[in-house]
Amino acid sequence: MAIIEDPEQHEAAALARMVPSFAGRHVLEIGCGDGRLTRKYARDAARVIAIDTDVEDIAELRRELPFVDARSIGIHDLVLPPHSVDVAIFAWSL
Amino acid sequence: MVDALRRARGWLRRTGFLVDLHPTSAVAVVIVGDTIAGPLETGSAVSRHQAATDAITSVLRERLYTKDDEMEFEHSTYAKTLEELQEHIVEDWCEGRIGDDTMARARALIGDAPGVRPRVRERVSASLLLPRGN
Repeated sequence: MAIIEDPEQHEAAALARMVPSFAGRHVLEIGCGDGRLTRKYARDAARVIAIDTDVEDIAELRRELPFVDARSIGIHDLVLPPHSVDVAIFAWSL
Repeated sequence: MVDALRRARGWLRRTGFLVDLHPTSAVAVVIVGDTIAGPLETGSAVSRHQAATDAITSVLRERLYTKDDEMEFEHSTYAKTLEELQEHIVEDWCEGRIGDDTMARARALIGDAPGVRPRVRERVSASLLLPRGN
């Protein structure tokens, strides 16, 4: 299927306005799906934890971005140390 | 939703921040070229999106966060054909589908402009929230 999402890059522009730089940052992305948004910043960040309840999407994300800590888990089951995240992104997941 | 925002606040550093992206409660539309063929049938999506907006309002009212920036943008999903767009929406969107009337109008518009890719356009809200009291 030849689906093209946001070729105008409006979403990327919005993210860039909100987060001018991911360099050195610890990022938590909630609702990452197959990593459509993750791949726009993950290589710049110091660490990325990306969660989604869709097992297949997480498997795809792990294959494409193996350096991302991708977990098939919901936010209510996620355990993280307090005050350990620089940027939390709710990616169409609220 | 509010609980998720509360949990995220506990994980954020004092200098950290939260970015939320979610569709607005504006109805998504099917577009061919520059012409709107009609609304997408989205089931309960509009109320879910409104609930997300309400959750943000709630944590601001509770003074758990302050809003540092906000904006809206258009997000379009293109397919080669209407059938392909329909298949994608039915598979990937919660309760979404292109209804018969919108499909008929879109087919007519494509007939007048062969080769044009149909798309679904949504309005998306982006917010930058800073945790308070972390």
